[in-house]
Amino acid sequence: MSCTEIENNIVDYIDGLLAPEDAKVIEAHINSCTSCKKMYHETKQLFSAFSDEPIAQPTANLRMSFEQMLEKEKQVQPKVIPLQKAKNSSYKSILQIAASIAILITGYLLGGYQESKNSQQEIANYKNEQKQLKENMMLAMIDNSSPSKRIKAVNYTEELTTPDTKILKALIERMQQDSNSNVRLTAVEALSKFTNSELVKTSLIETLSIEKDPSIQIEIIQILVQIQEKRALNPMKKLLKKPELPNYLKTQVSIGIAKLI
Amino acid sequence: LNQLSDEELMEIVAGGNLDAMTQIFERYHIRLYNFFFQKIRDVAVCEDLTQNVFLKVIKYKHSYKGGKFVSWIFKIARNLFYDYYQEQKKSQPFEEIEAITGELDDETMERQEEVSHLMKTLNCLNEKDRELIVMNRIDGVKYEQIAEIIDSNAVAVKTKIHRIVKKLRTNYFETLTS
Repeated sequence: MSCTEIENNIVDYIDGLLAPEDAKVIEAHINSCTSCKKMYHETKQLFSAFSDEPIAQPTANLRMSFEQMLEKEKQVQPKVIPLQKAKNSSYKSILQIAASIAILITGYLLGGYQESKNSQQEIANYKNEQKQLKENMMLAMIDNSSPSKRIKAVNYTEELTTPDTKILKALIERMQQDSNSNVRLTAVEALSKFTNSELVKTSLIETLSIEKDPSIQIEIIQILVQIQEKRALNPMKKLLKKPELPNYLKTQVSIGIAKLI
Repeated sequence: LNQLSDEELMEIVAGGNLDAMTQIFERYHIRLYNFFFQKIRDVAVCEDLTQNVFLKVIKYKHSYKGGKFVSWIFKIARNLFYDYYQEQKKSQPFEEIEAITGELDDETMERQEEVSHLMKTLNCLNEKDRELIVMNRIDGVKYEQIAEIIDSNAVAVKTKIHRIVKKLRTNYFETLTS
């Protein structure tokens, strides 16, 4: 090994980075070559100057500001989820995309269906509630001492298509027993819409024999003729025989009887 | 945490657990501080720069691609130093001139007195050589990692270090005897 080669390896030799064989060759050379020996000792001295060089110590500020910075960064940093390495999964991801689109569409349709179902349900509920409310109001007002209030109560039933028996019975009661003829007449008019009910039919026939007010009698006859209720014939004939019956009413009854036969 | 290698710690940091940064700080803050201190003899500036290295480690944690951590962190430190150096050049052209003409005021003279013979000798090297020898002899960075930091290869770094040592040795003993 030449002196230049020694020079080129002296650092690694001192640092102990060389292979043992190479180190031995250099050691032998150094021991036999004065200039290389000097070079070796000087390099060692230089390196010990490096290691003697005091390591500069930062002040406590560095650690403090580091800790502050770290706290700040911890708060700022969003929860990072490392991206999945998506290698050789292109067909898989297409399937995934397709699946998510399918789910999206299904969700949309299902949502729409649910929505319309819900709103239909809601409307039905609302209608039901409204009916209930009207029925309740009608029942509450029908016994009111004021005739006009009673008429109003009867009129509430106009909007009902299928009133329960409770309502019908209340109306019939008004028709047969109310002291005010206007209330009775309104009740008859209200009941004329529900002639499908057997209860209503029989009570109308019944009322025909009780009622004294001619205008109400005429109204009932007209209703019964309209629905071709044959059972009304007998009470009508009885009515005709009544001597106190006004002439115009007699005419109406006769016409009704003629229409029914 | 202290059982883990630098690289493993950095993986944890990159995964979002910043607590591992404390361990990295413990292992590197003195080395980094000295890396700066050999170039800039200003405690406050060096502390700032050291602090910035750790901040950058956090900010760029996702760009750490699993190489030797020591190379990566010193690369960050080196870039920060060059940024600082460029800024100083722009903002203080007057000092620069003063340094070139060698007109030192009393204060600078006094400070020079405190500086060791080795440090004075280091000033005979150019900036790049001084950085290399400081990294190798003071910060204890190996050839391979220096190569990664300066984008070179280990053989070239080894050759350079030997050349620098030769120059330094000559200067050191010439000025020592005189």
